[in-house]
Amino acid sequence: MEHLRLIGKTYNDYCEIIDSYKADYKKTKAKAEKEIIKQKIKEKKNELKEYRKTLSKEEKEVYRDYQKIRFDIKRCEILKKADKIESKIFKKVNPAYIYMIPAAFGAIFFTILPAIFMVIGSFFKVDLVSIWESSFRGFWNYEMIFTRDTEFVKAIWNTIIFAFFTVFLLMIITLLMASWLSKNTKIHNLSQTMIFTPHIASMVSVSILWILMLDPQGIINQILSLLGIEGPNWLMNTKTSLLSVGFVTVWKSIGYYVLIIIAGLQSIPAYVYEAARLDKASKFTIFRKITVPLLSETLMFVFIMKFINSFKSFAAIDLMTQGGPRGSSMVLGYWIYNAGRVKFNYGFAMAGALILTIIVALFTVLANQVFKKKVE
Amino acid sequence: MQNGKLNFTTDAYSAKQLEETKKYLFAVKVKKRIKYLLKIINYLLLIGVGLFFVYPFVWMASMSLRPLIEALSFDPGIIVKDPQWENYLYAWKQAKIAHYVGNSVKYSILVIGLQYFTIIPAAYGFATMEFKGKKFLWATKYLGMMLPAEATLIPIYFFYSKMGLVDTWGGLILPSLFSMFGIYMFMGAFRQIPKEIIESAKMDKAKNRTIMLKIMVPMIAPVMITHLLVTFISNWNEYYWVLVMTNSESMRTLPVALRGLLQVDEGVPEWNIVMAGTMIQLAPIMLIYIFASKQVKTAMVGSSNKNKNLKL
Repeated sequence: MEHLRLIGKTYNDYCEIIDSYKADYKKTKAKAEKEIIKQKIKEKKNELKEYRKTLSKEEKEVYRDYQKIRFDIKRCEILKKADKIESKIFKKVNPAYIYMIPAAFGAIFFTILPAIFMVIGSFFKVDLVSIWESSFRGFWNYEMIFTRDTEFVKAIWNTIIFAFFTVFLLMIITLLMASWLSKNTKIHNLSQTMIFTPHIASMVSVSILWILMLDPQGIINQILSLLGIEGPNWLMNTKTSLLSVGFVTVWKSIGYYVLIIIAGLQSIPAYVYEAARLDKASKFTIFRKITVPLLSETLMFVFIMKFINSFKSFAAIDLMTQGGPRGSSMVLGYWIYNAGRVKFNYGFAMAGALILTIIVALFTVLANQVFKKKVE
Repeated sequence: MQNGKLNFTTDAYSAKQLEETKKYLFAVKVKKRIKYLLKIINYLLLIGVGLFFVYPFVWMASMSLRPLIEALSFDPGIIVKDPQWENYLYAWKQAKIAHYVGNSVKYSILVIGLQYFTIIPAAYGFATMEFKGKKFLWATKYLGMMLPAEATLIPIYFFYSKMGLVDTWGGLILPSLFSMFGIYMFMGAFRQIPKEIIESAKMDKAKNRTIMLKIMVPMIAPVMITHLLVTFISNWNEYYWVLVMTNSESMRTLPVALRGLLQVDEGVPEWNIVMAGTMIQLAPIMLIYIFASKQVKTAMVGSSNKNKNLKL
């Protein structure tokens, strides 16, 4: 035992000498002296290495243990120092701010700054190369897009039509389907699972799929021809292109909203229904007078979510019609992408973006108000 | 009991009554049968409606295995006589899907690996700490909700191009690191933890860092798995953001690359190859969905359902 302890002692001695040299190295400022101390440290280290080589296998293990202990002590000292600094900082600054840096950065860089820049930029003719040479033009951007751009006004109407079409189609289908599917048998669950499938598939794959299905020779038209109807070229017809895309987005999201409504339905207590059944209310009356009012909070959520999402239907439009034919399926989101990212006309794009934002905000506030009244 | 005599006679066994009982029992039987039949029809309808949502994907798989001439006939059948597995090989090598799969994997892994370093502290701060400007920061949630991604795209692209972030991995994953969705989700979960636990830890002079990492994060492990699932699916499917913020082919992910397959100079695209590529894009998510459909459903529906009423 004694000679093992001796190993530790020699090791610690060497290390302490090296450390003291290192401290000296930090203190001295003359270059020549520094070199000398460096040499000394190297010598000591080499001595330590040679000492280690003389040890047997068992002794080497002990040596390693001592090394570990020394390392741990050093680490603890560093942690202590860090803690002291930390507490010094936190005495002056609320620690919350350090935790909030990411959230604040995200909010500033991806929400507030773009919003401000969008409002300001819409009044300028933005110069791409050097931003400081952009010139203030007042409402020139707005004037241009409303009078000269043939597709912009069309895009606004298309956006609103698209939103209303998809939202109302979805609301009716999902409400009916949810009340039909809201049971806990195996078949019902299987059906729910199947309906949910398109929601987790990417919009890209769903769009590609439906480009094929809606082809003039595609499956939809094959089924229609069995019934004796000649289907149009859904995506290339000015009358049907927008509604076709709308139908596809509804098809994709039915499962998601059905499950949300089912979750809402199952949170309605059963005794309400029992009481209604005792009063011999018909199924339709129960649905109208109990289910819908009690669901109104969930329905509002679905309504607003879908409404906002319907303004964001970029991927479907981009893949299926690209705004065509002749602007019949051009919506604001795609128009902004086209103006800003394809044609690099920042001023126009930002003016359009501001109008889109105003429309979305307006409809969201309106929907909130309407539903609040209903809930009360 | 009149006259001390009991009158036991009933007409229950009269011929007329017996016939009526028979009729009644028969009616009940028929009714039961009809109900049973209706139940079966209902179940068949349920499966039928379900198939309306699943069949297109199955058809897509069969399309991806057809030779080109057969694929162009858009035959609605599912069974392929002579499956062409070379389609996948062709898509993987000639159409460079391998490269884009690599990019997609890289993108998802980078986001999933890095996001928790920023999201968890922010959620912890929102849930347990008081500081100036908390309400203001919270209010930006509503601004962020109202601002459509299409509207903020141009300004952000402008910042990116000025800062040299376009076409870099850093720029691509940056917004996902500050996703409000994750912050709200974890904040809701942190709120659920009883305050007594945190207070007792504070009595023991535990630092915020230790409380967060050693006490609270292990307690919300299920929420973390949910969040992992949702972010993986949404990042794997991400289209719009990647399309806008990348210029070069080498940075694009799989969904954006599929768009390139659609755009051919002449004639029609090779649908069987396009379908094979799309199948490769769908495969990981569908596999997850087949093996853990319940978890995926509750993750995607539950997370949005819980977040809707979160208030400061």
